[in-house]
Amino acid sequence: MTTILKLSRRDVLKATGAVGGVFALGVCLPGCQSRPGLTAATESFAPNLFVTFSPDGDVIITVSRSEMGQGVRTSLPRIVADQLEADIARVTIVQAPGDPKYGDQNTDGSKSVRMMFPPLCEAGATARVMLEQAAADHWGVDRTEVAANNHGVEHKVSGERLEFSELIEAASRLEIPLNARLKDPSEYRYIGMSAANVDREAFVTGKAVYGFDVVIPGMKYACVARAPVFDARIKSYNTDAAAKVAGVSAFCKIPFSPHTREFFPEEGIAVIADSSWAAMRGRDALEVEWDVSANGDYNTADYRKLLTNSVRNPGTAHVSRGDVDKAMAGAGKLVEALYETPMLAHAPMEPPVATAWVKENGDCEVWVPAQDPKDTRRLIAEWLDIDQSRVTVNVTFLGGAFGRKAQSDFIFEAVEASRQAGVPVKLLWTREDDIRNCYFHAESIQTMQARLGADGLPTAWLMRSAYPSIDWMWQPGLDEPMPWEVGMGLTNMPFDVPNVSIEGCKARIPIRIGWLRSVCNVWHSFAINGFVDEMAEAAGADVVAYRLRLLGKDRVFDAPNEPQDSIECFNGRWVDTGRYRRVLEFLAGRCDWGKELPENHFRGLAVQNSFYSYTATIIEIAINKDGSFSIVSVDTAVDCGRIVNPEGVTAQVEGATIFGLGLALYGELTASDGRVQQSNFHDYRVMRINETPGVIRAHLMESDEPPSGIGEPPTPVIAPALAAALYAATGTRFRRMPFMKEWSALKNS
Amino acid sequence: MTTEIKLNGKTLSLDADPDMPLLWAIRDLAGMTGTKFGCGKALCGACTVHVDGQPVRSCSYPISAAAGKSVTTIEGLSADGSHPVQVAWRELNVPQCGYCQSGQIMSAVALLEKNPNPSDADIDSAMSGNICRCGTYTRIRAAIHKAAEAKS
Repeated sequence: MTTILKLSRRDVLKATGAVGGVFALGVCLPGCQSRPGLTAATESFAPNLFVTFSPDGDVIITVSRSEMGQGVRTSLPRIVADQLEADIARVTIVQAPGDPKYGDQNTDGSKSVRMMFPPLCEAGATARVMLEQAAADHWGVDRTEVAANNHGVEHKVSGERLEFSELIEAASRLEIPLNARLKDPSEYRYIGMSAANVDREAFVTGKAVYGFDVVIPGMKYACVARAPVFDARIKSYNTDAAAKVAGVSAFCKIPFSPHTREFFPEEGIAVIADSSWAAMRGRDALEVEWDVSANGDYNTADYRKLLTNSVRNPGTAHVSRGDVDKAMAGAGKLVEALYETPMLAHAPMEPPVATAWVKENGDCEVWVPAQDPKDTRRLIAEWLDIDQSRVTVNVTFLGGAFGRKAQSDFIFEAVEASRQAGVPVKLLWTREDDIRNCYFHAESIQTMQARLGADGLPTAWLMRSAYPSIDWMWQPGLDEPMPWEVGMGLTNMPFDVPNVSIEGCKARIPIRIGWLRSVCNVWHSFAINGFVDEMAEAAGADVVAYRLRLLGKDRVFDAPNEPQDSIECFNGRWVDTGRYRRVLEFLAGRCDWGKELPENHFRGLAVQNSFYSYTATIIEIAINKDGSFSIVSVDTAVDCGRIVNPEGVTAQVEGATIFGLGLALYGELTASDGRVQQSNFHDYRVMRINETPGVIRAHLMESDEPPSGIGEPPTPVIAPALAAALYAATGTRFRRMPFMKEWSALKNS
Repeated sequence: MTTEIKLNGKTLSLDADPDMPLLWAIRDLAGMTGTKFGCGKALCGACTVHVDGQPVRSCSYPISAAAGKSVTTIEGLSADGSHPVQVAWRELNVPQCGYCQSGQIMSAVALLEKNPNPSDADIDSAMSGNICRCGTYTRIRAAIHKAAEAKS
C-alpha cells in the first residue's frame, strides 16, 4: 500500500547516552533533512531509541513498526544485531509507541524492511564501532587490531577478549562515529539466515496481547451503532430498550466528522457497558433512525455500469508513447478485453478494537492494534484538541490488518467514548461492523486493446482503468485514479511497446475506500497478465516466450509523474525489466514450464513487479471426476532484493498465496441502497483449510539488490495465474473476479 | 445469575447473564484472554475451547450450557506450552499474526484425541471451521502430522 498521508519527515533523532553504564544511540531515518549530529550525550537515558544496552550487557532493540503477522519483530532486530555483532540470544525486543521521533511508522506499503534496512544497519554498526574503540583504548592498541565478535570484542594479535558488558560504560563516553563501517555481506551472521518468529511462544500459549486483550483496571466496554450508509446522519434515537439491557450504563454520541478529516469516524451512538456482551446487546437494542439521503442510492450493480461506460471514453493519459490511435488503426490482429474486479473487505481475524483512557487531567493513553501509531497519536491530539505530547499510543499485537488498521477511525471512537464516559473504555467492533463499515477495496474495470504486428507483438496498446482514487477520501471532488495508483501495475508495466496509452478514467464512489493488501496491483496485475496471455494466444505463442519477447532489451526506468520514493536507493530504479525477466525465467525453469502434465491437470502463469519486488507464479489445477476443480500446487518465485529472513519471506509467500486465492475465488461484496449486503464469513467467503492447495512452494532468488517489499508482492500474481489455469482447463477466459461465480455460471450454462 | 464452571481445573463462580456466550465470560469475567473473538457466529473457530473434552465455539455457547462442566482454554492446555500440538506449532513456525492460533490449536488437539493419526483429508475436515486470514493452512496441516508423530 502506498502512503497517502504526507510522510512527516521527522526531526533528526538525537543521540543520547546515559550515565551508569547504559548507553544508547539514535540513527538517521529515511527522509531526514540532514545527517544526525551524532554526539555522545551523557546527561540522561532516553528509552526511545533503537539500540540500548542494559548494565549486564544485554541489548534492547526497539521495533518501531507494527507486528501484524509479517514478522517485523523477528526481521528488524536481526539487522541491528548482525551489524552490532550481538548474540541474538541476548536481545530483548521493545515495541515502540507512536512517536514522530521514529520517523514514518505507517506499517504499510511492504516497506518495513525496505525502509528500515539502511538506518538499522547504521544503528548496529555505530554501536559496534564504539565498543571496538572502547576495547582498543583499554588495550592501548589501534582500533584496526580489534574486532567485535558475538557480544564481545577480541584483540586479533593477543587473542584477548572483552565482553560487551565490560565495555559499555567506556563506550558510552565516546564520540559517536559518523561513518561507522558497515559489515560486508560476507560477514553477515543473521541477515540472510532463517529464523522462526520470535513471538511464537506467546502465540501458541495465548499470551500475546492483541488489541482485544487489553485490560485496564476500571475499564468499561463499548459497542457502536454507526452509520449504515456512508456519511448517514442520525435523525433520532431512542435508548429506552438498550438502557434496560443488564450491564449497560451509558450512551455517548460519536459526532459526525466530514470524511475529509483523515480517518475520523462515522457518526454513531456508543453503548457503554460492563462487559463486551452487554455492550453488544445494548447496541442491538438501540433504536436509531438514520438519514441516508447522502449516499443511500449506491448500488454495486449500477456502479459497475458506470465504470464500464467510463472506460469507453478516453481518460487522463499517465503514459503516452508514440501514436496509439494511428497504430491501432493499422493492419494486423486486434485484441480486446475487459476485466472486472469487485468490492472487498480486509476481514482481519481480529476485528477493529481499541482501548482508550482520557484521564482526569485531559491526557490520553490508548492501547491499540494500529498500523500507524505515529499518525494515530497526531490525530487523537487533533480530536481532543490537545498537544501531542499529552497523548500516548501503545501498540499491541495486531490480529491481522491487511490495510484495515492503517485507518484509525475505531481508535478515535474509543477516545471519544472514554472522554465522555470518564473511564477507560475498550471499544470493540463485531465482524458485522467490520464487514459493513470497512474502508473498502473499491471495484474496478480495465479495458485493454492491442493491435498486433506481423511478429505477433503489439504495435499499439491502449489500457484504460476506472476506479475511484483513495485520495478522494480527503480531496473531495477527485474523480479519477491518481498517478501513484496507476503506478501500481499499469504505468510500471515492463513491456517495450512502441505506441502505448495508459489512461485513468473517471470514477467516484459514495463509500469509504482504502488500501487492501497490494491495493491497485490486484486489479492491474489481473488485467495485464490476462491480456498478455490473450495477445500471446492471438500471436500463437507460448505465454512465457511471448512475455520474454514483449520485454525487449533489459531496461531500468523511473516512475512517471510520481514523487520520489522516500527510500533513496530505489529512486531511478522503479522498474528493472531484467529482474522481471530473470524471475520469470527462474520460475519457468524450476517448474519445467511446458512439460507434459498429468491428465486433467492444467497450469497458468503470471508475473508482476510491485513494491520494487518481482514475483512470478505458476498455479496447477486438476479437474476432478465430478467436474469440480482443485488447486494442486502454487509455485511462486520472488526477487525481493537482499533477504533478511528467508523463513519469514517464505511464510509471507504462503500467506499471500492464500489471501490471493481467497479474493480470486470468493471475494465479493455488494451494496444495495448504500448498504453493504454481506456481514460475516458465511456470506463473505475467505479461504479455508479444505480449499488450500496441497503444495505452496516459495522459490527465493538470491540478490544483492537492496531489500524490497514482500508482504504484498506475492498477492497480485495469484488471481491471473489461476485465471490462466482455468482458461487452459475450460477454454473460457475468466475476466471477472471472483472466479467461483464465473465457474458456476459456466457449469450451469 | 451465578454459574459455576471448572475453568482449566479451577472451579469458578461467574456472575453472568445466562445468555452470555462462554467466550465473553472467559475473557471479560474470568480475565483469560487467550481465547479469541473472530465472528460471534461460530463461523471462524477463533474462540474454540473444550467443554468436557469436546471442542465448542465459545462465542455461540451460552455460559448456562457450561454450568457444572469442565472448560479448557489454550491457557489450560499445558502449564508451559509443552503440549505436543503447541510444540509442533512452534517447531514449524506456524503462526503469522497468531490471532486465530489458539482456536486452531484447540481444534487440532480435539482432532488428535479422536483420531491420533489423521490424514490430510481428516485434517481438512476437522479444521475447516477454523479460519486463518494470514493463510498458515499448509503449516497447520504439517504441524498436526508432526504432533501426531510426536504423540505416537
